[in-house]
Amino acid sequence: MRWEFKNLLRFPILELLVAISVYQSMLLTTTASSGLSEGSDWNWIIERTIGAITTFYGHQVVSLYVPQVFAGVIFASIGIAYEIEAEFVKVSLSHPIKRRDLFLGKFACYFLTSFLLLTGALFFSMFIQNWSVALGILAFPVGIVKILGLLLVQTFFIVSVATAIATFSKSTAISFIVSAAVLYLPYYMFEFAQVKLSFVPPESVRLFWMYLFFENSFWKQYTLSTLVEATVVPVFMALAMLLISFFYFTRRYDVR
Amino acid sequence: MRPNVIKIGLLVVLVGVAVAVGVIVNDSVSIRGYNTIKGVSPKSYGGIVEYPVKRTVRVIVESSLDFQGQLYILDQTGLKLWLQEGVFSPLKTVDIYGGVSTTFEPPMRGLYGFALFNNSNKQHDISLVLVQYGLEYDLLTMSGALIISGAGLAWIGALKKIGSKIRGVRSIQF
Repeated sequence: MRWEFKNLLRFPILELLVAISVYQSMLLTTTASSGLSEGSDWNWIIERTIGAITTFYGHQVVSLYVPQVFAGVIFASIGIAYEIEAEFVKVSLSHPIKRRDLFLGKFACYFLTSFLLLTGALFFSMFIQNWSVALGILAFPVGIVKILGLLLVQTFFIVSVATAIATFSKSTAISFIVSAAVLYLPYYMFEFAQVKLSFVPPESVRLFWMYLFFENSFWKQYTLSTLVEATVVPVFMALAMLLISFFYFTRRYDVR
Repeated sequence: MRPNVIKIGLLVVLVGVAVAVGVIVNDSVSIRGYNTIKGVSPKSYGGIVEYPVKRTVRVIVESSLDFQGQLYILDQTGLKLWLQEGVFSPLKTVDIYGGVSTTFEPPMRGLYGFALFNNSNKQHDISLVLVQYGLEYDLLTMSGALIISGAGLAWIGALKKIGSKIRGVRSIQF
């Protein structure tokens, strides 16, 4: 796993991803923050302000979908497809290491790196943009836990899909193009074609965000089946793809 | 260890550059907020809270022609003092006759209150428009500091690396 981390974070991959993530987070935060409200109770004003900040950053998880796809696709293509293509996997398997450990180690690295990178960028942006109320934000950990939950679901979906495609394609170029296309398509439909697929991110994450932060509004517009579609289905799909690629890599993949 | 210092330095520089570019791109667009305070009674206050104020703000107050009053701008501490202890110490006061348009340079980013006092003898509806424009100089300063400190770190790392190479060559010669 340590070697895998070093492999992923070599120059200039880490630098590029950090720059893109921070830039994207900064871009999101500033556009968001206009709003006037009336209030005469100090505690209410502070609670409302902090609530507005955490709600806004929760929604920004959806906008971090593209950098996350970028990170997931690069990691899986370099770490799995390229290593299979260049036959480095054979070298790895010639060591006393189980296939299961190799696969899970790689997946854990991609997942953790993508998750920590984007979480770091989002919270860095959140605190430098709102440093005057930073302590107030920390006093509301529930909002932060919700943001982390949204990021976790989105990262798991992206990394699982990219890992599965990389495992089956066995070619760096094919893995890169196919996984980028497959993962970008829902975003394109969400953002430009206005076709919302509620069972895949980013739309599913948006619905989940709405449920977490505006529960009453969510129930006015959607039903329980929409909530299940937005929360259980993408996780189940990602898990299924991950398990299929796991069993393929550990049982069927021929190293000769 | 030394290459890590260079890498950390480069990362810090990149973060600084990303922050600066993000701020400049964002700040090319102004942010507008609008609200109407309905029925402000004679000789009393109508209040608005805005968050976050981080750039120069143009404040436009509109009401009927016979409206007379004041616009008070309070920072976070002033707002807290006013709401909790009744001590009123605004940062800026502007007289209003019918309406007014003024600019406000916030000393630091944060929560600001815009209180309107109706000095006339009639109830009035008052609309308030806040337009934030210009650059967020505090973030640009921070990004500059990040770039300089990152470049410094990378430079120290590179110097140490060159120094160790020179020492290595000397040890071979003697």
